[in-house]
Amino acid sequence: MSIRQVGILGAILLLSLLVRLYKLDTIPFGLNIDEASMGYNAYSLLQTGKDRYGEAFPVIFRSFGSFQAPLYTYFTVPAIFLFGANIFAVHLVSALSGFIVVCATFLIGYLGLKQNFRQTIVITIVVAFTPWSILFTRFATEASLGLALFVFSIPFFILSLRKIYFFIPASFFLGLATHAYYSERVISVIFFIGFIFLFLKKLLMNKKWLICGICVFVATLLPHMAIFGSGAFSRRLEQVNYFSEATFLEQGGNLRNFPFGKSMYIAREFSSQYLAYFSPRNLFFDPDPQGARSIPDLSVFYSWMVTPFFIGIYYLFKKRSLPINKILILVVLISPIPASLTRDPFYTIRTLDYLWSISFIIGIGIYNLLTKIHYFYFKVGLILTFLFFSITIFYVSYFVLFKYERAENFGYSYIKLFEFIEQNKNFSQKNFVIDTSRELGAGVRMAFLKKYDPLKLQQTLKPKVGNMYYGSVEFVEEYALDNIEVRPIFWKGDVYKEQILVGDSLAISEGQIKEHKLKLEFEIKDLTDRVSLKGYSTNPKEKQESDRMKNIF
Amino acid sequence: MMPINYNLLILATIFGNFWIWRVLKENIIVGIFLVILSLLLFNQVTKVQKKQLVALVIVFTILSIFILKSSFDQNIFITSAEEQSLQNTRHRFYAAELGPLFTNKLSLHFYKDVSWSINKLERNLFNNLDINLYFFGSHPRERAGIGEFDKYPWILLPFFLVGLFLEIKNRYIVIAIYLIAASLISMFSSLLYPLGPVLFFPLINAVIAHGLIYCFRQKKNKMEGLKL
Repeated sequence: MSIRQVGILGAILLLSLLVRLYKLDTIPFGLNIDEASMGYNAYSLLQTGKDRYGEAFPVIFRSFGSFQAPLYTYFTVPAIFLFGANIFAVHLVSALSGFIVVCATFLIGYLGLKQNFRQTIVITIVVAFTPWSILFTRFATEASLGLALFVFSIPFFILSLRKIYFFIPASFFLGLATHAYYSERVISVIFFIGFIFLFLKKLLMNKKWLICGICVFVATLLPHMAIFGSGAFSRRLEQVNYFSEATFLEQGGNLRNFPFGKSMYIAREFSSQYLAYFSPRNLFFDPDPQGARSIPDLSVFYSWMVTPFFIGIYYLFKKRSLPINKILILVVLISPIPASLTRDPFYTIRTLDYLWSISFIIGIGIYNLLTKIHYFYFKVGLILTFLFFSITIFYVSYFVLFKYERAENFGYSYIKLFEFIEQNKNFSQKNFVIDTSRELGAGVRMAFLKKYDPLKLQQTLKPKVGNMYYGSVEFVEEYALDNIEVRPIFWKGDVYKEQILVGDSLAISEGQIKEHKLKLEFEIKDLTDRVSLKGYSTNPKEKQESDRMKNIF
Repeated sequence: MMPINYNLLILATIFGNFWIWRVLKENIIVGIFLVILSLLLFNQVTKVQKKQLVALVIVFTILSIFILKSSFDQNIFITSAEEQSLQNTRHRFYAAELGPLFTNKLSLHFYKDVSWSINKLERNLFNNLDINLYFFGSHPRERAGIGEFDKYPWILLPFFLVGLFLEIKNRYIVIAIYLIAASLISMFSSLLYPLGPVLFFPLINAVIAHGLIYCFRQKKNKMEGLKL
């Protein structure tokens, strides 16, 4: 590479890092339930060597009724050590994972496309700045780390076709990815088998290294064996799949009356789910139906990318004998499989590997499209127009709309509530009950922001889990953080104690305010200026008096 | 092995789906036009024939005019009360974050009068390009307020995909132009049109038939190889 090329690459990498770090602590403003759980567990590990349930260095982290892949939490420990227990530290691992993906993409392109710098740069730019790529690397999700490890293994796989000993680190990083996110458990294993199958002749030329690589891969999978039969391993899939008899009876329609109806239903459901990931409507127009994981009015790719997408597919198949293209085709075909086994439609976070491969293909399409344009100024004009269009659309959709319209998905009001209680002397000494009926993660989020002593929390939660940490045991996770209790409101008891009840308009209705003699103390507004939470003080004396009068009459 | 009759295959594709029967039931003229258009397009896939191509263009134009007349999406240029409310809310966010970059005349005009219409046109375009719409009645992402219905049996999906792969691989220009033309015209047609995006019907038939022929040929070659 020439100095000029190094400069261009450096500028793009720097820009991709800046886009991921800019206002990382304020957009999104807050932590969703998974982020808060990982953040507090990391804080707890740092302080005590155990998670919030008192389990020492778990193989997989319990989180409410489900389980989280462990690597993100472990990687967050040094971030919290360096930057403290705050939103930035929790988001940081994801942001850095995104940066690693961009770097690895350049390596993959450069190694796989015969050192074609221009094409590789175009692909790197697409991967670095597509909406999905920025969105998912700006909040904490295990999926972004899973993607980083998966993509990071690919340059080694490409190198292993030239120098077989690279097969060892390739296998190691691919195996490691299975501990980062659920989807990678399936994708990595199929990819590993698929890669060996595709390049078997070459790999067999040096059997020793091949066997060593397989052993390394299997060794990285061994920790899964420790929890294989416990329920924790397959808990998530059980919660979201459509294989059960109950789901078939509910959604099977006419197939319920056919012989082999259930098999046909599963085949149909899988086909429709799988195909949805290839639909231009989903890829280029409609955002993910999950508000918390999508940018308003913007899908995972810009709508104009539909044309280079089709051109990219054409070139991918035209040059399908290239090892890189074989690998890409393999990734494109296998990566939507885990998400297609679940009943959630177009669940983007489960398919980041797939979105990465589509970005790569779009990059190929854009490059080939540009090479067909020979008039220099037209080419420059076209590039500038699309860059301007994309930057504007992204800025407006993410840094404006996402910031406002998705703030509640990240617990904005609860964070403001916490700040209000901490800063307001009139309230900081009073007892609070914060309702969690519609915000399960409020407790752990507050524990994290309050930097609540993990030892105290472990004393509350450990007895509930007992020795069933990896089991399917479910319980209501209540948080008592000094003067703040975070749990559902119990109307039969809470109104007879002197305290402040906090909840949204559904948690505390007008009728309940009158009936229980509550007095409005404060209101918390969300970012769109709507009142989202209200705090009411109880009046036990008046309530008891009113009860007494009721009994008399 | 019996020789494959390609005309029978395309006829089986045209009539072996739920969509054509629904169209014929609702509007027999549109149905007949679609059958003719499907046959004409199928004949153009591998070899362009001038006379038939002219006929194809004429039938396509007539059908497009009819569809645009009967199902033009008026909402593209009208803002509903609900949209107006969202527009006003977002106006506040943009004004607060972007300042004069948003509050100048040009940006406001673009925001209020242009961007929403572009968005609706894009919505129509990408909804029509959704393969799930044709094989699974838009499942798993059914659209609110739209009467979804199955158009093709999903068992034909593999043949459609094979056909699509062949079209891309062989760069069949008529198919590509038809796709672009149908997409552009259907952009202006309402998603609520009870017959669905019918201009895509001939295209999907041609692609499925193409895939079927390829698979039959492969099977035939295999059988002959076994005999030898």
